[in-house]
Amino acid sequence: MNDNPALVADPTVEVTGVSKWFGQKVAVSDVTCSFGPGLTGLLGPNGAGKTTLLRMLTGLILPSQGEVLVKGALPRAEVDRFRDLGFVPEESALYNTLTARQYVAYAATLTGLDQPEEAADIALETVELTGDANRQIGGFSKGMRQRTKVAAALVHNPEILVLDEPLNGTDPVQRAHLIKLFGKLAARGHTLIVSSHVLQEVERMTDRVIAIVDGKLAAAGDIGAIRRAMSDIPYRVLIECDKDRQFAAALLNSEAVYSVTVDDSRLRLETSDLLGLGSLVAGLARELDVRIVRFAPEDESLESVFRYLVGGR
Amino acid sequence: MSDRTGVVYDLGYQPYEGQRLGRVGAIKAMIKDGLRRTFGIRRKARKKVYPWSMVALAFLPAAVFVGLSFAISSFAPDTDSPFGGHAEYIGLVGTVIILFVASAAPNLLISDREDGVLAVYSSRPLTAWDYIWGRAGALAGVAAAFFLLPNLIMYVGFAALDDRGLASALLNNSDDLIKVIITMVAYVVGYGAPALLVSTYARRVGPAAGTYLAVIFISPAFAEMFRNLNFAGSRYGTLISLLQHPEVVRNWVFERSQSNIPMISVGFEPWLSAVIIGLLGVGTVYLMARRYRREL
Repeated sequence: MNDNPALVADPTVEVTGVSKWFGQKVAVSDVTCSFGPGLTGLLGPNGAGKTTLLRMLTGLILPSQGEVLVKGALPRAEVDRFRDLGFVPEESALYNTLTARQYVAYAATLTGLDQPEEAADIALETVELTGDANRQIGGFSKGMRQRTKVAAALVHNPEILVLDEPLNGTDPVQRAHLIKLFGKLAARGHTLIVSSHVLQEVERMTDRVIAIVDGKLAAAGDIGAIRRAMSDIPYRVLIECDKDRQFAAALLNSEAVYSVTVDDSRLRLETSDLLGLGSLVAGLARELDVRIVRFAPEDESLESVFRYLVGGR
Repeated sequence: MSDRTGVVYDLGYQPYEGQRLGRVGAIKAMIKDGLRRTFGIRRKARKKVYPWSMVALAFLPAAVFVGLSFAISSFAPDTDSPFGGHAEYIGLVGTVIILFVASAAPNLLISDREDGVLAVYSSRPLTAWDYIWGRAGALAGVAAAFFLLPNLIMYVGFAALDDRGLASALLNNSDDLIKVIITMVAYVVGYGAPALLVSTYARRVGPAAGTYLAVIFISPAFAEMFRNLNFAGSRYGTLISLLQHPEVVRNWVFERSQSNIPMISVGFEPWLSAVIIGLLGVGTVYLMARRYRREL
C-alpha cells in the first residue's frame, strides 16, 4: 500500500518522473502518477499539459524524461499494446468523406478485428449513432463527431480507454449518456482516463482526479479530500451591484469576509463561508436597499480553483 | 437520431468478442482506403474527374488499338499504331503515371496530416512502417496497374490475333511480359518515390504536386545543360534527370536506342539508372520512416 494519492495499488498505466518539453517550452514537468481500473479524471485548465500527458500515455509522443508504462511495457516498444488501448484524441481525427459506419469499421480493421462492420455497428449503437451510421461524417455536428470518435476508440473493446475532452460539443442528453457509458466501462474493470477542463463534468463521472497545472501535478486523489485540503484557502466571490462602496464597507464588517476589492460596480470578496455569505449578502442588500445584479462564486471556474491550489503550495 | 426531449436510453455496452487478426489485415485495409481515395471513390464528382481521366488516358489507346486490330485485319499494331509495341506504349503510360502520382501522393499523405487523422493510425497496433507500407503500397499498386493492365490488354489482344494461335503466341511472347514487368518496377519506383518524398515534407497538396511536376519535367533540361558544359565532373550532372532514368531502363530492357539521352551520351552505362532508381526508392522509404516515426 502507498499513501500517495497520485498512485493506485493495481496500476495499468504508470507515469514515473515524466517531463516533456518542446524546444524552450516545458509542457509537462516531472509528473508521477498512475491509473488503474475505474475512471480517473485528468483535470486542468486549457494549456495545462493534459493533452501532452495523454499523448505520452498512449505512446503518441515520447517523454523527454521519465517513463510511461502501459500494462508494464513501453507502449512504443510493444506495438501490440495498442490492442489494449483506445484513444479519443482532442483533434478532429476523422475522415469527413466516410460515413460513421465506414470510419468505425476502418478503425476496427486497423486494430485487427475480422468482423469490422459487426463491431462497428455495436460500437455505434453504444454511442447512439445507429440512426446516423450511414451519413457522411463531414455533415455531422461536433457532438456527433465526438461520439464517432468514442465509437472508434471503443470498437475493439480495449482494456484501457484514454479520452481527451470527450464531452466537448455534446448536448446535455448525450453528455449524460456518455458519462453513464464511461461509468459502466469503469465498473466493468476498464481503466478510463478522461481529461476535461470542466470540473463539474469530472465530478459527475468520478471522485478520483489528477489535476495538472502548468505541466505540474497540482493535486491528486478524491475531489472531496482535495477540497478539504483547500479549506484554509478562501473562496472568491464576485458581486455586481449598485452602491458598491457602501455595500463593500458593510460586508467588511462581517468576520466571514476576509477582503473586498471594488472595481467599477464589481466587488470581489474572499470568504471562508460561502453559504453564510449568501445569507449575509441578502440581508445586507435588503437593509441598505442595494440592488444585486450578480452573485457568483469565482471558484466555479477550474482556473480559479487551480490558482488557489498552486498559490497554496 | 438522438432524442432531444431529454430521455437517456440505456443501451448498455456490448463488447466485441470476435477474432483478432494481425497487422497484415490492417495494412491491407490501409491500401484499400488509399485506393479509394486516389480514385475519389465516396467523394464528390469533381474529385473523380482527374483520376478517372488518367485511367482513360492509360487504357483507351490500348483498347482502341486492340479493337482496331480485331476489326481491320490489315491493321498491324507495330507499324500502324502511333505507339507501336510495348516499349513505345510504356512512354505514354509513363507520362500518365507521373500525372497521376503528382496528385495521388499528396492526397494520400498530406491530407492525413492536414486533417489530423494520424492519431487514427498511431493509436492502433501499427508502426510507422506499417503506415508507410500502407500508403506507399496503395500508390505503387495503382501506378503498377496503370502500367501493367494496358500492356496486358495489348499482350493478350495481339496474341489472340496471332496466326500461331492464342496459347502459342502468349508463350512465344512471354519474354515481352517479363520485360514489361521489369520496366514497370523502374517506372513505379522512379516516378512514385519522388512524389512520396515531396509529399512527406510538403505542407499543402497543390504546392506538393507542382513541386513534383516541376522537378520531374525540368530536370532533363538541367541534364542537357550539364551535357554541354565542359568542366571536370560536369557529366555527373546529367544524372539529375529523374524523368529519364526509367526511360533508360526501358530502352535497355527493350534494346532501344539511347543516343538522345544525355547521361548515356556522356558515357554512363544504363544499369546506373537502375541503381539510381533503387537508391531513390530506399532513400525515400528511409526519409519517410524518419519523418513518420516522430508521429506514429
